Amino acid sequence: MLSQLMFRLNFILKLLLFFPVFISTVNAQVNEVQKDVIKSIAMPDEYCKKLKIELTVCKVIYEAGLKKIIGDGSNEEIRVQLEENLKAVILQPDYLNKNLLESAFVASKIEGSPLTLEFAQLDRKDADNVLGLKYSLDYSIKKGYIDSSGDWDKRWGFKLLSSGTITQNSEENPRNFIDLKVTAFGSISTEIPTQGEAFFARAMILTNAVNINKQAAIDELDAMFENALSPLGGYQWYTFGVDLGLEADQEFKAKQNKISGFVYGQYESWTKSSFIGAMGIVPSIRIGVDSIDPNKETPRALAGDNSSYYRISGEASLWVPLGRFNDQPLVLTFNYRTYDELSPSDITKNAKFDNYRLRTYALRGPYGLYVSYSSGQLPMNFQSEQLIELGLKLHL
Amino acid sequence: MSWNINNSAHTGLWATVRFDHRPASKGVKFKDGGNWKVDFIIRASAGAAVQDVQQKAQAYANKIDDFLTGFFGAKYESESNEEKALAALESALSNSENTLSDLGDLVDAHYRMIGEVE
Repeated sequence: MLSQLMFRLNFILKLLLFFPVFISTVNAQVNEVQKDVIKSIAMPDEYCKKLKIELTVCKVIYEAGLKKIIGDGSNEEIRVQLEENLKAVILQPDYLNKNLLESAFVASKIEGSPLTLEFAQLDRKDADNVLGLKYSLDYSIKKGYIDSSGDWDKRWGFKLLSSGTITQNSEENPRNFIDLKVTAFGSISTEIPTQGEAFFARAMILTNAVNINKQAAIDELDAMFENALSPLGGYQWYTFGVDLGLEADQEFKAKQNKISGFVYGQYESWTKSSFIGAMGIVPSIRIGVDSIDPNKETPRALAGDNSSYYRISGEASLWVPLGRFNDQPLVLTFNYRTYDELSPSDITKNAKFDNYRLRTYALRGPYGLYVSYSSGQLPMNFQSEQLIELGLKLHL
Repeated sequence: MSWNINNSAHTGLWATVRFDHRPASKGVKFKDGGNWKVDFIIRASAGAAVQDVQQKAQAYANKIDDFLTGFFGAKYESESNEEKALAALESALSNSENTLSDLGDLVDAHYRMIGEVE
């Protein structure tokens, strides 16, 4: 709620205002022995836990107050350090995600909306990391279902989609790429057959609180599901459509209009007799043909070629279960994105703006990434050294 | 409501996800399943474009809907319907910050399981 947010803010402000007054009063009266005593009994954890503000912020203020009391630095030094420490604590993705985006006030505004926001630390090659706000918008304008007999669910729709990452200074943004489009699509997918009342009743019993974790109940339920799904062979999902939109840097100075036709497919085998079914491998692929109309600020135009062009864009993903690690599922993921201009001019080729590739390998579990490795580049990057999360990265 | 073993929408959802992620999910208990991230559940790859993640979220939302209605006999709550339920699931599955527990609350809000009072 807004009132809670205001309460926290007020509390922090009061602490900041209160400490200098308190400290200057105390400071005038303490001697060296008393300072040592104060130092030895200082318990920021205990003190801060009693207050309804973020522990890390409280500790920074507490430490500054303590320095002032014991005379560890001038007023200006303590103030500068306090400011730097507060920045270091507050301007962190985890802090901002938890205390700003997940605060009751902001969460109530965006929950259930098509907008998702997330602060992230962005890696830059040979430069300090920068704080960025990642966003994605997925708004369904209109959608419908096509009644048909057979083994397929069919649907159509129109969506407004946008995604990107924004930083305070666009020149420092290693992901300076905004995608905005309206998409018209049709999808078909495997239709899972509806079972009868007896099946429902048994499934409900096998998943009640008593049985949900029992291996015998799990085995019986799996056998029921497998039996019902075996005629299908696997789960298939295909989408085809047209995108109308633009790609731009975050300031929309460099931008290019895009019309794209695409197809997407994903296949999950439920047959243990097939290799990918037995291994649990799930592939997906997206291929598009894009018509691009760039403005004169795009890297390609700045290199001397601002003509419209066609390009093939593609993305392939692979999900490969590896077993278990630390008693949790371990998976290798691979993603490959490519953008290739058709019949590029010599200017474009020489400037190396005719194709872009990005490969990402990762090991992950159900709670997040363990390690990832990326190489390559996406379109609309202005500085070649600012590449997207390149290299080996440990996610601890 | 938080992830609750006495909530049939939550247990039905976990049974669906656990089955879909066999054999990796073997031995994982209901309680721990609630902490699984949705990007793991939909099998999103690191480095994937947003449209790839959205397609996977859409496909998985459809799969959950099919399992709940086709295998557990779930109906839609009176204030929901298939379109609303799928839209809510797609949106939640696209947000990598969400966990299965978050998804459980949505399933509970949009689906009425057998024996559940309206």
